[in-house]
Amino acid sequence: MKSASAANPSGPGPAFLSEAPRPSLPMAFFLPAVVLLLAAAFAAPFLAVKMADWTYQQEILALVHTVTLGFLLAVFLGASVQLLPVVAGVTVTRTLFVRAAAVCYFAGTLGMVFHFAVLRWNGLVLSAAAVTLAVILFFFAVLPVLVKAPSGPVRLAFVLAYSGLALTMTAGLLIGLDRRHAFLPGAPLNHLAAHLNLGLLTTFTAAIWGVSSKLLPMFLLAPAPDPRRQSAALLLLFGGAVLLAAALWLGWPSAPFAALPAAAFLLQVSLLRDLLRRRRRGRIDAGFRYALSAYADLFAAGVVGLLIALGVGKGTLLSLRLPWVYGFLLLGGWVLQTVVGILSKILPFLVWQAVYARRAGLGPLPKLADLSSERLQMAGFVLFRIATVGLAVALFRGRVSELRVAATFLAISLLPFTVHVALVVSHLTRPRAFAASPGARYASAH
Amino acid sequence: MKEVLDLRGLPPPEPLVRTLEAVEALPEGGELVVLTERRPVHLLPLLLERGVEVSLRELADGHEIRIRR
Repeated sequence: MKSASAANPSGPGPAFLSEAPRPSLPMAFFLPAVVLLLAAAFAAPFLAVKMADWTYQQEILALVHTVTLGFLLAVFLGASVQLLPVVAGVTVTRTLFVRAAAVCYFAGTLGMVFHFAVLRWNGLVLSAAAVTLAVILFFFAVLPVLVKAPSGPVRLAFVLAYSGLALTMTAGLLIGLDRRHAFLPGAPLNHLAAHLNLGLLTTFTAAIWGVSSKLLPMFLLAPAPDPRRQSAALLLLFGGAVLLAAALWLGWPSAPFAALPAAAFLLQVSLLRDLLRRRRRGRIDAGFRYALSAYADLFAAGVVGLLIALGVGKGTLLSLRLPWVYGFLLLGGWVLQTVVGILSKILPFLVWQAVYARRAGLGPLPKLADLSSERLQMAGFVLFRIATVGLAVALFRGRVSELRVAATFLAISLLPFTVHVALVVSHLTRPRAFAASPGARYASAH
Repeated sequence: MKEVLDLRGLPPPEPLVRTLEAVEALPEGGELVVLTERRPVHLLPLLLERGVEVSLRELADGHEIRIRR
């Protein structure tokens, strides 16, 4: 048993934050991210004709990077500065670097999206360099916190996800430079496939599994997953995804290299099953429903990926449609759905902590659930679930009219999530006053 | 007088809220022992702001926070 005094935060092991976390740091990433997600979602129906064609077209690349950089990675960076201090018990002190990183990051992301859309490679490489600089600034700011985090699956997941991000960005920069100077061996389409898999598996999936191993037990009142098995799942995933990406990059048969990520998936699902069985909170709210149901999409993406790797439908129309389905299931079904769910869950907590925690014990407070509407979130989850299945089917069929309808429905399905975010964030500027009532409980997570 | 508050099994931010409610009711010279499942990382700055003495002990199944006014 360890003990520490609050007056001496440098006591044995990290215990407390020395000061209240600053909500403005994660918000600098979260809020622009939601705007960019909406922009991408409502732009997608206009690209239905492109979606009926092959995958790697300039407009599609612009759309995909709006989602991956504009939303997914931005949320991951924001969640890092929210969650890492909690894990490490150390506040982020280099806040100026985080804020500079956020500005540079979104400027670079918008530049990349624009230059993809108009297909100007010099501008694209410069914009990508701005994103790279932003990520370096961000790493510099969070490194002291990461170093002090106790060793375990959460820290491992962050280390792996950051390493995966560095690999993905390096691959992306090399691909961009190769368009100007053609120096990379192998086929450009193979490089793009490797870049996509690196980003979605080593960065986002590692991050999701790590963050989930902290959040799910916390909110579902379940024992934390066995650290050894959780770490094994993360290492299998990361090692396997890097090998898979290398095989794709070099044009080797990729099917054998998919075995490690597949084993990691099975291990992760068994950890998740244990956690859900042993939870003491029966009800699973909308945020976690997004995150948990997304595992079905990850499984489906794995099956489709295997079909592609085995060369199913080679030389036929199927070989044109399967990569679409694979990419969408992995990006929209798995990563996007999970990140929307996690953000739905952590944002109210962040805002409640920033606005109301200081008043606890001094008077009545809103509950976490009072910050938004659970019904609204549940409606958003159901609509999004239907929309992702619909778009996956439409992408498989490849008909423009169906793609347009499905993409429009997906964009609409994100509106409840956006309203949820707006309602929650409104408490930052307009904290609600709650009148005391006899016997009323002051706050609850339910 | 020592009061013990077992807040294990409660989801966030319930332990934080109940601890601060109990701190407000704590008389001068009183001591409060709070048991939580997770490390109470967000609680310290708020306790320090309220001018109480705090010490933390890690238990096999959670954490023990001793608060003195």
